[in-house]
Amino acid sequence: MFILNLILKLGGWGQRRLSAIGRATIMLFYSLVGRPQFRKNFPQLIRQIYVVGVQSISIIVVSGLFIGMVLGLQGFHVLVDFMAEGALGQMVALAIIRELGPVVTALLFAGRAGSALTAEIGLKKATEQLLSMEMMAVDPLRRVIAPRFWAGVISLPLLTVIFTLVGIFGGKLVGVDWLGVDDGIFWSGMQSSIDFWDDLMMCAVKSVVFAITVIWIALFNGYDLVPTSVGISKATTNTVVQSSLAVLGLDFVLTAVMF
Amino acid sequence: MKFSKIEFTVGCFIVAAIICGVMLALKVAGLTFDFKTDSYTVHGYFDNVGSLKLRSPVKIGGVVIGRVSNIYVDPEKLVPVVEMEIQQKYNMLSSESKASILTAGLIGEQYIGITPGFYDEDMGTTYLKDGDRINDTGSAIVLEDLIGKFLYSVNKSDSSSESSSSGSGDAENVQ
Amino acid sequence: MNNLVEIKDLSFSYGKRIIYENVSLEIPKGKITAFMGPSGTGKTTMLRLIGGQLVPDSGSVMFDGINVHKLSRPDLYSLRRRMSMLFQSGALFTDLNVFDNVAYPIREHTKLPEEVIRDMVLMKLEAVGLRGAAGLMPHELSGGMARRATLARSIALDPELIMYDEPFTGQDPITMAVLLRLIKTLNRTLGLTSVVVTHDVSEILTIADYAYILAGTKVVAGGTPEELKKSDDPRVRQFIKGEYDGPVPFNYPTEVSYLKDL
Repeated sequence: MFILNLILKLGGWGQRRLSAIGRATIMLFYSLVGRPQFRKNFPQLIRQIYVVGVQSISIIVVSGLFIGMVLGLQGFHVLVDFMAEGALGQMVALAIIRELGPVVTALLFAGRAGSALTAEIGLKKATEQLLSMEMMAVDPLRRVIAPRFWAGVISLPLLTVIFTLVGIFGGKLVGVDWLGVDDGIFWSGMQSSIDFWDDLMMCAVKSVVFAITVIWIALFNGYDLVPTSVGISKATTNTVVQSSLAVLGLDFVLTAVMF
Repeated sequence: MKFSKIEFTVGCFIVAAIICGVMLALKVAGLTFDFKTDSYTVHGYFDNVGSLKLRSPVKIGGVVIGRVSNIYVDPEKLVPVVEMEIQQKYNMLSSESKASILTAGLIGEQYIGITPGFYDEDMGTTYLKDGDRINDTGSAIVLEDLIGKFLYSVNKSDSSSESSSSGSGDAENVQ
Repeated sequence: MNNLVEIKDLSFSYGKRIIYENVSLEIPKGKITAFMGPSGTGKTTMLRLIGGQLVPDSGSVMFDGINVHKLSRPDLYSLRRRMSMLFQSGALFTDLNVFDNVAYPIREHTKLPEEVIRDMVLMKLEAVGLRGAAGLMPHELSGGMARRATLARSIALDPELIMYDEPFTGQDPITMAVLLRLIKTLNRTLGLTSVVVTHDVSEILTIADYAYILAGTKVVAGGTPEELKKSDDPRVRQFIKGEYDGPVPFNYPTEVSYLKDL
């Protein structure tokens, strides 16, 4: 009886997930497919890049700096035991470019911008703004969802690039300027082990994939929520939890596929 | 012109990110913009290229003079071929030069080391030009072969010829 | 009689809960039609069915001879330009001020120069008496002003049909009177067809040309206000007089009897 119940619950859960994925795909399809309307959507796009991207810069820069500094500090104390502090630059750069840069930026982005987007869309839905747009013969998918989607897909990779560079400089700040690793060795060790195509492009591909994932989850949770205060708070939590898990899972898959 | 704070900051954001990207490419990845025109391509046949990769460095005495531009197998001879792009300023390499696949340190990356050969017009040697072939090549050292050879020689001294001699033939080629 | 909207044998349900069963009604062109009924009978649902936001289980909704639910997505959107809906909560765009809210549908659907749009918006705002509030943000408006601003936005593109969803809920008597007069004058001067969903019976019967009473998945009665007031039907009498006891059930339906539940 217990096992039957468990299977029933699992089945119900799976069905709900699948139908949610279906609805999310339909949402994305209708928002992105069709004749683009640059004249009307471009100002919205700029505005959304401002909200989603520019306003996230401070948190990205500060966390990038500190993560780079911590990596420099930790790495130095391990490497110095093997007389290999020359490899510090390469260690910091590899760690940030391959993993921390795209992943941490995506996680911060989900918390900072994703949850805000969910709440905004959810509130627009709760106050019938989306419905009234529909009745004004304006497709909210094209006018509300699409610009936010593109803004996220453009912003997150840009933020990742900023995070990565700031992080490496954070590592350099601690390693070179504070702990006395040679400047030349720091940079040349890095340059010899980082490949433009393998590592930087990998970082870019990852962050584009994460951007699509996070922004899609955030927008769908907002668009699909139950328009009550409980529904909105649940949806924002869902956005952060689901997109964090999705980013970490996808990171593993992408790393396994591409290396 | 209407000045919009939002448009301005978004513009700054995008420009800053692009600058960061360029800095990453140049300073961190050490990307250099080498154009085809100031390099020439030579190729060599190797028995074994080991784990040599595209864009692995080509060095003389530890100094990088070019990069590996292509690795493929000759469809007729079924032998690996490595193409190297060498910077035009090093155009005084003799055709008698030797290219060997070496390893940086015990477990490091593999690269091509060029040992410059002598140049004597009377003996018919020339400078390497675009499309030339380096005849004298040394293949990658494969650690398994080395170990196999070592085991073989140890076993022979014990006069027990039972142990496998697989790979020793390959090891001969490597040398 | 010339009908703008004709609904035939319409059935609709949310999951297992049946909202409508074989409902048929007509909305005459150029008149004010009222939908009345107790809360929770799905009067708003009826408006959303007409607007094509919900799809019925069976039956048809014809708007000016076009079946709303047989249209493709782009065709449905172009049909919606001919209708307009005033939502219960107002639904002004919170990130735009009143002027831009009213200008929004004009900017979306036309390529008029900005000066023309400005004149059009100010005319619409003047019609609802809010020209002075053009620069305010929606959260700075009182409830009644927000309704009027929404009304100005709804008539911005001169639609043929305008649907009011509970326009009087939570309004003081003066605002209510203002809204009533607005609905009536707009209907007459712009040649609109109006549908008003409400349960403020006595107020709406003063301006409506025709009224339907919806209760429990059916249209209980329909007629001119005079006919309804004279009606002998106990359900109509109960609703119009506002009696708490009568044939229209007040309790939410349940399958288990009260005695058994206890």
